[in-house]
Amino acid sequence: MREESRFIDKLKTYIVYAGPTTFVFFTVIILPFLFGIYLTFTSYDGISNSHNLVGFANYIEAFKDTKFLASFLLTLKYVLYTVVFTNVIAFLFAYILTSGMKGQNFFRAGFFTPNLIGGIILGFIWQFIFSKLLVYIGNNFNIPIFSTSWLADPVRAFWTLVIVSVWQNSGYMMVIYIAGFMNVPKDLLEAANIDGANAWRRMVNVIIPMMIPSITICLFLTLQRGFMVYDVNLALTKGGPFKSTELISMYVYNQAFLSQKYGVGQAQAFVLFLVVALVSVIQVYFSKKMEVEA
Amino acid sequence: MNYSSRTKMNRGLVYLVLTVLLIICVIPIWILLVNATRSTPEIQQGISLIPSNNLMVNWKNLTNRGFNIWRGFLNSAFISVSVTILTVYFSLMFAYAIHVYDFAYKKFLYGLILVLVMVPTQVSIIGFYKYMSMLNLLNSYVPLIVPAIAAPGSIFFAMQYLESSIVKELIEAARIDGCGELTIFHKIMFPIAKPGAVTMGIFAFVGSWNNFFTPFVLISKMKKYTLPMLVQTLRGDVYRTEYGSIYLGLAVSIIPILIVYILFSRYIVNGIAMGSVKE
Repeated sequence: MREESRFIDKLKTYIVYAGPTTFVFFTVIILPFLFGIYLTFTSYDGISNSHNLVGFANYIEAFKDTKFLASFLLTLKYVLYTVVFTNVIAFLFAYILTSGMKGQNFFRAGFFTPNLIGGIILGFIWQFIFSKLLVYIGNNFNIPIFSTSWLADPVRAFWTLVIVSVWQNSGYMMVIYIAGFMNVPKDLLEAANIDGANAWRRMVNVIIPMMIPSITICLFLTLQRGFMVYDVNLALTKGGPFKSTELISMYVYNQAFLSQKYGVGQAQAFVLFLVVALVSVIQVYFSKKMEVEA
Repeated sequence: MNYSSRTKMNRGLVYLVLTVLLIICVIPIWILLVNATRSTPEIQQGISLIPSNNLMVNWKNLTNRGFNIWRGFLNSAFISVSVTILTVYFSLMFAYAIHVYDFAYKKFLYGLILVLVMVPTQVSIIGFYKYMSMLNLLNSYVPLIVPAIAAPGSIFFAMQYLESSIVKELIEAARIDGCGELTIFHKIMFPIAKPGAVTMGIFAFVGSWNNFFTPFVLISKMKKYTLPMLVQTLRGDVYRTEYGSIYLGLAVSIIPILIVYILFSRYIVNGIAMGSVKE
């Protein structure tokens, strides 16, 4: 009897606090998501109202698609570079800007600014920089590497994507790392200092173990953003030159919406989702295991 | 070289490097603002970091071409402000509930949210589109605003934030003093979470203001276009040669964000870390 009323109490608080959110979750995220998965087993083309069940045909076609696999590999390369560069740079920024130097808030605010600009605008400005500004500098100061537009060369175009993404995301990750640095207990650092630990030892043995929660979040966010990137890709390179920089999100989108292969595109998107989910869950699981208490 | 002059030199070097990096961070935005004041031939000729005098001409070109940029501005502002309020309020509420109450499926819920953050828009957008057309909600702002109640990214952030700043003892004390549960949420938790709430709010505002994809799929009436959609049409035929006007259009769409950011940036650069009474 008492157990029952406690359960009803709990249910009531849950409905008050989490009810609206749960309801919206189911209607706007989970239902369309499940519907999307259902469509991967049909011959739906995005327009017609009727479609037939086709079993795993779309998935078989998805994996036979060599361009899909190539785009996936390119995305893996892109994710690797952006995750490493973004996190190293953000971590260093945060380390320097929590050392108590003058004007550190000013620098923090400045480094965060690139995060405010949306993908469409971002692509437009950087197109101007890569095809006009750098070419102008390259020609006038005789720097051969800048004398032609990076966007016209397949290898360099890939690097423009990495550069712009790192430029955009470092400030955000920096803010999270700053929070992490500020939560490292001062007395621990002092104790390490007294024990004669130098800056490097303090970093490896005290700061980094205490920063694992921040590192977990930043790795998670950069991984997820890396796999999902679409608007920078669209606005900066449009997948070109010669489709050499089509990252996976763009490939899947084009497949579904431009080539009208909706079922295949959707199946590939679902495979992408599974890979991202698996990578992220593994990463979060191992990072959580490494957490320590002060 | 003695010790103190060496540290001085090191410090000088650090400032130099930071300043260079700072310039790299801000200069693209500055170029955008400067180009908004230059004429098309000037832009095509080369680079300048000093504003020119073509602002009014660009503005006339921008506003005389058949669509109303103020209208887009208001549309975007309405959507973004509503989204911000809903996201902050409901995400905090959900995160608070997960933290403070022991639900049987707490871990499952946490995992579910973690996974939902990772659902690509591309996977669910067609389902969402079909569903909204069934409800007759295409060309309405409802599908752009209401989903803000369930924003997995914000909830994830709110949970991380509350984990470091919520003190259970404080809540128990309030309960013993006879506070109702919702009163505790509004009167005690909210003030503690304010820096986090502001940070979340800025992210929500910026995200919604810059969102291009969802409105692009759901809205087809020109009158209801949001600012990024208008910016995209700027790049279409009519404006192809009017670079100055295009840049002015881009500038108009980022200025509100810059203002919001300047007003609240101190919350971002300090906010996430500042907890409550926790030592």
